[in-house]
Amino acid sequence: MLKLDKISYKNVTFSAEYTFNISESGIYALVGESGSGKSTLINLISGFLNIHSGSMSFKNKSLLDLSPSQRPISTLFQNYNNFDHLTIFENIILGVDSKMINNNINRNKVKSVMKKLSLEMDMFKTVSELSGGEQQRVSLARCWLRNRNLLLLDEPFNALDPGLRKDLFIQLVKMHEHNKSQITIISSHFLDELVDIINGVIFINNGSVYENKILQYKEVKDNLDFKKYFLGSF
Amino acid sequence: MLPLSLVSKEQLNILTYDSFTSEWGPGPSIQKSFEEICDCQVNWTTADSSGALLSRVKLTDNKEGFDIILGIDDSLMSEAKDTNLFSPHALSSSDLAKLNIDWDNETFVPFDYGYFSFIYNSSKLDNPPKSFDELTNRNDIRIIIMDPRTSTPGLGLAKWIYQLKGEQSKDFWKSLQDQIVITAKSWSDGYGLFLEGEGDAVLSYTTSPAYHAIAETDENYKAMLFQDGHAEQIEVLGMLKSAPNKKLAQKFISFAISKGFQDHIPLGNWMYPVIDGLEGSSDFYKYAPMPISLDRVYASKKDKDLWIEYWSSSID
Amino acid sequence: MLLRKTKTYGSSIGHQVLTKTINQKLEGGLIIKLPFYFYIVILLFLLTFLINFFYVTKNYSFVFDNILKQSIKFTFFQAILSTIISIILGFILSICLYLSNFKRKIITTFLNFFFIAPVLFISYGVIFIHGSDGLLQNIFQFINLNFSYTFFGIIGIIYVTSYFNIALSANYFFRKLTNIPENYLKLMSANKISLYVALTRCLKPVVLNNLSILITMVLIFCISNFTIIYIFASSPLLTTIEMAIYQKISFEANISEAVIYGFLQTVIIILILIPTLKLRNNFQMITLKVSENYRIYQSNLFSSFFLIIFFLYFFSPCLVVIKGLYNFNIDLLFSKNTILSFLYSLIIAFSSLCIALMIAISSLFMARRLHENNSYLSNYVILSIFIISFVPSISLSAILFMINVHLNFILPNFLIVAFINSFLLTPLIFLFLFPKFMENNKFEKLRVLQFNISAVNRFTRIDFLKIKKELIVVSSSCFVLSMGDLTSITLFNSSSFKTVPYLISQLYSSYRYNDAFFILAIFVLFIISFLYMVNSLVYKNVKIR
Repeated sequence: MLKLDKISYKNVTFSAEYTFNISESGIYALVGESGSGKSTLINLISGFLNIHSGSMSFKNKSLLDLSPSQRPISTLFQNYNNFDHLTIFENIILGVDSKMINNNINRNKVKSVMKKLSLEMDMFKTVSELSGGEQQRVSLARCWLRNRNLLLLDEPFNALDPGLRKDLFIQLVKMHEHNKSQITIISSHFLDELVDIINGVIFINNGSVYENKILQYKEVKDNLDFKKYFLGSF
Repeated sequence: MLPLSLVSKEQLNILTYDSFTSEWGPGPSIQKSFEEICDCQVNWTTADSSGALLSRVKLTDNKEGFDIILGIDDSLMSEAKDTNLFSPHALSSSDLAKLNIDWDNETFVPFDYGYFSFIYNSSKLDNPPKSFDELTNRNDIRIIIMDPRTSTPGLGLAKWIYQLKGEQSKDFWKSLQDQIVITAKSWSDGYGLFLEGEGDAVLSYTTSPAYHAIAETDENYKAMLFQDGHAEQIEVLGMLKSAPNKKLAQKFISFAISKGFQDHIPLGNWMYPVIDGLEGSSDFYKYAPMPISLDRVYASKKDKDLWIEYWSSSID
Repeated sequence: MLLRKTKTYGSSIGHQVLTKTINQKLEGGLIIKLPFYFYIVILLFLLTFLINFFYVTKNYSFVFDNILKQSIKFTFFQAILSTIISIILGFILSICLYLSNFKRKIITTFLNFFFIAPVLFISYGVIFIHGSDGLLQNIFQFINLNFSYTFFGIIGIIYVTSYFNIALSANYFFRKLTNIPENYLKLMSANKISLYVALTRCLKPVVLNNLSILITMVLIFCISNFTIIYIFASSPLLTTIEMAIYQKISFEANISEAVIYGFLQTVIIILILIPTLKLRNNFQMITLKVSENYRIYQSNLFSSFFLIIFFLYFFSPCLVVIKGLYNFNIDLLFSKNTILSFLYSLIIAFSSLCIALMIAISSLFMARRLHENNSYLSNYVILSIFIISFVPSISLSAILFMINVHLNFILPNFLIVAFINSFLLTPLIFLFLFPKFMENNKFEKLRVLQFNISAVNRFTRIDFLKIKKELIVVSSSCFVLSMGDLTSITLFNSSSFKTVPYLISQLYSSYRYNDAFFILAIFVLFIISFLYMVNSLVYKNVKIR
């Protein structure tokens, strides 16, 4: 389904080349040291960074000719996912209506997706009035409504406390049950938290995908390089 | 300021307007000639217009210690005298008789004079008007004047019009209004804009063409000569009562109407000198011929307010 | 007063704890506070003189005279009109520049230059292009187009006043646009948000936040455009308060009325600004991950078209340099007078910059200290810095001159000029350094308390490094500003010191118009090369870091 072949990227201080193939839908963890190139990979797939060479396709259709908005992708970052001064409604409807028009149809769409994510509040509250967890849930609601087949999450819940994180993982799984054909890639430093929900692991080491393939959780756990990253070198 | 004891020579402090002492004005050469005969040092201080000169000594009560004010004009004389800051010049009537103009003021001494006029470029405007009435009938001629409240030529024009039109001044100003394209704040701004091509004629002096002809060898600039006569402006100098060096000041005043000073006036300040028979001034008179003169008026504050009132009531 | 909550875009998860009050107070740093205290003493001194002027004046009928009414009306009419025009056009220009492919360094240099370009230069440049005998009229004549217009009067005044203020507002908005958090740009590009929707809704804070600061600055610049009014006001009806003050002092020797006029203007400005000056003590600066290189919007036909118009507008007056150089006069260039006036200009610019820097940095320190100690007084520090820029500089110089008279001329003239210049530069420096200086102040306070860092150490080791780059940029701008025009508004020159603008006006009043243009051209070239040098210095520094 998602296939990256020697996707390379260079700038003054950093160069990377990624190859891997995800053939089944599901949730995948993206792990690796800080600065190893996790965010770069997400930015390349989303189209925020231009690649130097290589090919990339999703469901056998090349992604490279598509602009970020044309790609079948939703992205979520650690912060600045919402425009604080806009309302919950506007921030969610943004995913499907870039003009953010306030009409019945749109309001109903937002209402139903908010319900699914148990966001029970006035949708015309501004986002800045919400707590951190609620804010991320609003972003998640936008991704849900957008309903694209690739969901990329760049350390999305790092700033939240563990209980809130867990809650959001549950929402993520809910979302997946809703759209079975979705591939979700979630980058994180805390692989253990994800163990129950992931189908595989992409381990980034020095700007490339470890062994150029998707690993299973157990494989990673036993891997020496990973241990070094995870436990520190002795 | 340096303590005087550090300087051996006597000091003469003169307050004047800035163009007088500029490198191209008469100031530096006059200073040289005077210092040769007085064994003293001349210090110039400047204000940005002749109106500001009087303001400055009035405001400070001459605490700055000037000996001489050089460059206020006849329109400010009575006001200046009223301040009680000036002392009589002590020149004898025989000294004053040598001047080429009649003069009997006891406080101030004239050092140059001129006549207000409109300057035009003869390569662009032919058949210039020969009187004020003709000027107002020539609607194709756009003129630049100066604000009478901020500029001496501006006030000069108001006086000129009053001298010719009297009570009808307001109506006359009204008939002139359409032709005034710019009312500049100062003479230099107005004249500069005229040279940049704004307006067809500019309020200035009959002596202005001499500058262009002699310094720039451009004989195209000419003064409109009106048969009904031109108003006069006389620039004067005076000695301050609180002058630290009265003797030297007195000496300078006598010097001001001598050749050593007057030689530098025509081609330095571009005005008529107050004595005749200066060498090398024939060219100057050729390009700046004497116009028909109106009677001299010594304006009081009340007169000036009246002239300005005629002008300002015509612009609303 | 001008402090607004800056934390308006971006979620600041984790920063909330810092907004809670930390009661522990910071102390020390008297030596850094001294220039500010000195400034306050001067301010109080000026105030006592002002009160004295009120006391001396017995007859207030002049307050109701027509000239004053007319000048107040015109002052604020032209100022408000050109403030509105320049802020709107500045915003459009900043977007066009943001969309263009020009490097950021080039854009900011361009905008900086036109903000601080000497007023005389731009004014004569505009006359050179748009005058009755200007380039445009000659072109029209050449192609037999009979279209004449006059540029004097309100149009010329607004055209030239806007020149500097469009550059200022464009600079302000451009900075904001290049500081949009990167994730916002990603969010907008992933959801295909149009530029229009982005600007009107998603980036609304970018447009509106702290706009009052910009409005204040532009309005003040528009009100104090003395030289422009002097040159372009074609009719005596187009007169401003500053002009009336100038008249009162220069021709009527009436200082107390002049000072009261100045006081009136100050009061009116404060009244106008009251709605925008909301007293809020809740501001916090957070370093954002910004996106200098990440671009999602490309230039289009409209923006390119506007950009060409703007470039024509800005660069056409520069042709007057060619005219100036055409009148090349080597004797004049190396004459004692010219060299002296350049030297004096440099000395004045340098000393006023030094004074302004001391006061501005000291008051920044003071404002931050009070803010960190949760004192409402910090707003008054800012008010005290700004209030002096509301006072017409002519009134200010008149008061200072009178003070000097009473002190028997203890202060040399050049020092008075330097002080007046520095009073006008101080708010500019203050505003420019404010965001950087305040950055992360709540975090820093914790560290300062924890590690017991002394105020002086904090200032030299932390603050100075933080503001270094901004300091160089704003210093060079202020240096040029005070060389260029501010000195020409001093009332009482003395021949013992001549600045370049003074030399130019002297040439101008001695019929030497061509020479005046030549000196003007040399002066502008000098300024451009100076700015270029400073700019390359700043960018070199960045590379090393």
